[in-house]
Amino acid sequence: MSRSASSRHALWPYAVALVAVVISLFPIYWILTIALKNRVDAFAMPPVWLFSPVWENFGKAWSSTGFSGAFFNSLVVCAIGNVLALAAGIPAAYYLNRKHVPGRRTILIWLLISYMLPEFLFIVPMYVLFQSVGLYDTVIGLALIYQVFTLPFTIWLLRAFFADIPEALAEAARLEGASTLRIIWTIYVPIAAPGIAATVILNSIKMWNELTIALALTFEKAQTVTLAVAGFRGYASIDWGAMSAASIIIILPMALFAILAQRRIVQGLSLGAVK
Amino acid sequence: MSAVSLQGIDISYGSVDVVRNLDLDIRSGEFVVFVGPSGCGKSTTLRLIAGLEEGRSGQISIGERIVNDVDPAKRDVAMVFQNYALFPHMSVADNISFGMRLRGEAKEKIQSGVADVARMVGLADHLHKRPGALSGGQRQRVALARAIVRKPAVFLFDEPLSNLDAEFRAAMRYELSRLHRELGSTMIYVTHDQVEAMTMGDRIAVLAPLKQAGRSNLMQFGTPEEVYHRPANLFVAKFIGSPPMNFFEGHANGATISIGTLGFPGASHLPADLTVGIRPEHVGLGTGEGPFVAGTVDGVENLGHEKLWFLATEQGRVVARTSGAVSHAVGDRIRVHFATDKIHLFDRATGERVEV
Repeated sequence: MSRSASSRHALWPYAVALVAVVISLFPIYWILTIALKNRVDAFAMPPVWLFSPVWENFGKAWSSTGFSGAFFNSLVVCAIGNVLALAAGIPAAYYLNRKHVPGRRTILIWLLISYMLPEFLFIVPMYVLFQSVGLYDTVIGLALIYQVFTLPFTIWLLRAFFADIPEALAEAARLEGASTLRIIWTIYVPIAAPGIAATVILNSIKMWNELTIALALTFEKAQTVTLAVAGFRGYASIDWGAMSAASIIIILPMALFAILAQRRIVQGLSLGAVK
Repeated sequence: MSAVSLQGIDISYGSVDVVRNLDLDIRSGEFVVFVGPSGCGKSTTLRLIAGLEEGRSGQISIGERIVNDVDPAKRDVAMVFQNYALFPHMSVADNISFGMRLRGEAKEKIQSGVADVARMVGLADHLHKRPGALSGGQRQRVALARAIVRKPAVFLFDEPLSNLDAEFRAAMRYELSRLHRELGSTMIYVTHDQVEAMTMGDRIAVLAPLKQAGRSNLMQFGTPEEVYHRPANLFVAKFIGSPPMNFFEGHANGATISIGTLGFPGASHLPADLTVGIRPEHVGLGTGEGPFVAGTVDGVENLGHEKLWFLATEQGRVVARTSGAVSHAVGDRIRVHFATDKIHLFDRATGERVEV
């Protein structure tokens, strides 16, 4: 009797989760079907549920002007953006975890506020600045400006992971003659590796999907995937099939990344994992 | 092997003074235990010697060297932490050799060094394991090995046994004492456990929190015998000994000390208001020498080889310790004797010990 009661209890969360999954995956399913349908089926009303898939939209999307270049640009922006965020964020997170850092609270609150600021606040001043220093329409420039949100996020997240590492480890290493950099590199980074991986993944997703800043601060050479997808909206017509195929293509790397690293993310995001 | 000397040490956290005016001379090769309740500054003082904490004033010397401004790594000390502070992502061998590898020592030297200490602490079969795969006792051995392999002049232990269960603690106490005899190094050991202090220390420094202590945290620095049998003040008398000493209000009047109706031989130079202490083992039941009061057995704890008696007397509650053979029933009226020559006298105004 108690068994049936408990299994009934265990069912409704699954039902809720199922509804959530269906709602969140439906747009992706819809885009996928448009990408796989021919032009007539794509806009038939009522929708055509059964159709024989056509794959040409994917080839068309990939080979269309600028798309593969944009794909590559986005990869480079993510890579540089992550390197910058970790290079500055790891030492910052380490220091902000120490007890006796003057102004620690102020710095942390400021970081949180700056993370919450709307992105286009930076666009106008940065547009002028980027033009004058030659960062406009460069992947470096984009990776740099993305630090306004990746860096505070990185510091906040890593600080939480580092806080789980007992300070005695750093002290023990220091007594053995390790410098602060060495302590960070040989103790903190390896122990917090799952957390760092989770940070990189979350930052990558954010940078990969970013549109507003990329729209304002790039023109042609440094266009990213989100802009490339928007680019299928021509002056006269929209190539929905190719655009949908392109959307699916740009979802793939992050989805793949997330699936492959899922264990690490969960491991990293569950606090206390390093103790 | 080096002497450690602290002179006029003051340590504060922000505006809170933790340690004040601490003087301590630790001889080369000595095993000294810092003992006291939490907040007495014992760990802080140890960390000061290690260089992990900075004092406001005072001088720290290790051997001939004043080390106030010397980097922790260059003080020639090794520390064993309460939570072991092992690097969880490194094997036991890598944990032990961390410092050697950092200093770029030769591979053969590292290997033989690690093998030697591993054998010494009984870890030879576990060198390739991660700390997570070891028991608490084994982890503590790794921490110990990491300290030993450095061959430091001074070992610093910060409550290293407090996370172990009782059985292991007893075994490790013995092993640490053996290690001290083998290595002959100066060792400073922090604990709040008086059993560890009494069993391991060549000398014990009893520390008190500043608000109880007044001028300096150091209440007494002496051998276990001195601290137990001649406590320098009420704080030490209360802190050392389990169950603790019995205390009574006493009055000195000429050549006698009276506790209520009881009289003890005194001396004319004693202050009028005294606190009289007597350890439970110096309280006799039923028969015995010396003055006695009538009491009722309130309760008894039978520990097998000994019994602890809780007695209600007209002088208040008294705890007695007897051999396991003594037998009375709860509720029995009996004579409670005090061994005249075993009483401790303290000036009630200052808490300091006074001698007859």
